[in-house]
Amino acid sequence: MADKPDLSSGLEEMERMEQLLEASEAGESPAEAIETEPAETAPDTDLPEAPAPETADGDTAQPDEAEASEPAGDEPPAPAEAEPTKAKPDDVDSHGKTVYKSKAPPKPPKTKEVLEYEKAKRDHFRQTVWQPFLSPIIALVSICLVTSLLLGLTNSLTAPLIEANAASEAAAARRELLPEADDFTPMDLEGLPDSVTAMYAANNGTGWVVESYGRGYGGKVPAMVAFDADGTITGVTFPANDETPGLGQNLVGNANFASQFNDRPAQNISSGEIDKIASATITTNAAVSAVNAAVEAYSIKVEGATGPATDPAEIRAQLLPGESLTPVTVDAPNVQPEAFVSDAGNYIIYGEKPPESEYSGVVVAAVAIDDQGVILNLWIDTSGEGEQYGQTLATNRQFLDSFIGHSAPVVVDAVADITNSSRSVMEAVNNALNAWPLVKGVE
Amino acid sequence: MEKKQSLGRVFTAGFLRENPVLRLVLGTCPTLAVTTAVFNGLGMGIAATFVLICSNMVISALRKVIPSSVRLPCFIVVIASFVTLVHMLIRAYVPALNAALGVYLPLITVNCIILGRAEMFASKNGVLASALDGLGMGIGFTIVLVLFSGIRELLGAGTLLGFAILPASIAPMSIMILPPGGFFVFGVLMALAIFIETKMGKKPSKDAACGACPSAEMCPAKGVGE
Repeated sequence: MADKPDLSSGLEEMERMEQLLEASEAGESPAEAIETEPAETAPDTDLPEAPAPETADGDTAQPDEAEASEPAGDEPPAPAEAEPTKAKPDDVDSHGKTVYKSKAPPKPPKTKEVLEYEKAKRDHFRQTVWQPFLSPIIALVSICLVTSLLLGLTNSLTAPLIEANAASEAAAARRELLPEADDFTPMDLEGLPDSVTAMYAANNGTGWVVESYGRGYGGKVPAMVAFDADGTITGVTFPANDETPGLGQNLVGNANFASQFNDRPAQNISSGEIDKIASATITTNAAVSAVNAAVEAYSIKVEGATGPATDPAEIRAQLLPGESLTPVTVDAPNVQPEAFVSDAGNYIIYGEKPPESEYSGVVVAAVAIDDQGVILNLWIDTSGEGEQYGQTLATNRQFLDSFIGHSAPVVVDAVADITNSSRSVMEAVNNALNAWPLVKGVE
Repeated sequence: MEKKQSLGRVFTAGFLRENPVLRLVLGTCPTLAVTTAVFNGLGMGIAATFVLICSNMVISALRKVIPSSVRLPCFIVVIASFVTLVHMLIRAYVPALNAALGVYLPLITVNCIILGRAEMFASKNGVLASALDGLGMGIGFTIVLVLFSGIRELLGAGTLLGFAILPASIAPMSIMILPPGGFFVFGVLMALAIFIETKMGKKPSKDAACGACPSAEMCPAKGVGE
């Protein structure tokens, strides 16, 4: 409560101080006064005077010189300046107060009031600057500093332990899927689909574990898929996901569902081959596509198979291994103009199926044909088709193999759920086969 | 200014009279989100109780140092760092506990019960009283979460703590573990809390929710309908 009165008196004092200052600047009298007549009369009992010397002190030098140079002062008291006049009403300041120049003896008497003034100044500072601005800033900054220091310290202590814990936990989960494995080495993920998040090889060569995900209803649906040394799926687990509780969540820990993947070869699985979880079709499809991503990772990394789209020359070399190819030109409907003839008398022709709607793209089939018009091998590009549907045909070995050994017109079983894309592939293959006599004739 | 309450009264306030979920309506978001299974509710409750006690004590100890104009940022910094600290320690030294509670710990940072108690109680009371308040509120929170999730798990999945309770012939109402079910149970439990309080012969204090609000003094709606 001491604050209030102190403040107001402090403020008053400051006001008066300012007036004094003004006066001294205007008349320059207090300063000279001090010089000329040090301690004559002491009419002052006025409070304001005490602090005056402080401010006036600084001025002392200047007024002297200034006045000396131009003795013709501008104000009434000016003439009197130079002379040793008595301390008269020598100036009445602009506010009508009579101000006696402080002839106050410089040191002793001022102390008390100056102290008071300084205290008021401090209080004023405390109330206008310290409390509203400085102290909150200092408190907040120091709390932040202390806490971040603590956090940093704890983090540097715990981070290695946390990492070790996480690693051993993940290794335990992998070992559960692939019990014969001793330890795992992480593999490079380059060239794998984005949906593959990790791939590990067992150090004793018993198999691989791939972590991947599919897009479900509530985000990523992760899966861990284990392959044994023969490329058979030995186990699949679905870790926690964000699917709907009671519906998609039933995927987690659902042994009946997960066991459907067991003992399948590492080949693309169509979602039609898997019994879905009731009321969770989207989650089920995401789970299947996660497993398929793992299968793709396995075939790329382990079997050395290439992804659907790679270098055309490489693809041709895979279709007819060890044969050297010469390009020829062919002009037929729905066939790419460049075909190839091998030194062994086989052909590669690129058949096309134009897009059916704005939702699909061109389906291309590179078909290797022997000189009897029988399919030896084929590669297809279905990248314009649906992600979880038509696109999977390109890596579906079972589907592709069903073409081999046939001649035109080829009809094979469509893959469940992917009927339209399957038909497009068939059409592209047949277009290539139909152009085969032409290519043979050109030659 | 605030009447001194006895420590016993402080401790029991959170059970029913000022239950954070049912009477103060704080922490509704985690309540609705995690109560799909009893295990989750229990885990969240225990983790929140622990953090509540500790943060109440820290805030109470610092209450004289923190200028009131920046008290909320200070509280949040203290609470968030505290939660992070505890989370890191648990992950490093008690991985088993982390497996059970790990998901809920980071969520506690944004649990407004913690901030609410810091503001309403810990910043005005001593360390011991604040610790008791944290414990009481935490127990109240845990009780409600367990009740809440028990009802939802039993009706929505037919199980309790993962053990099948309802015979398989009764199809569970899966809406109960979906968000709408959370709101149903919330309303019923809230009404139940007020009913019990009235039965016990006490007029439910309207102050619990409204009068305790930090902005109560300047709120034009305060006391409307009383």
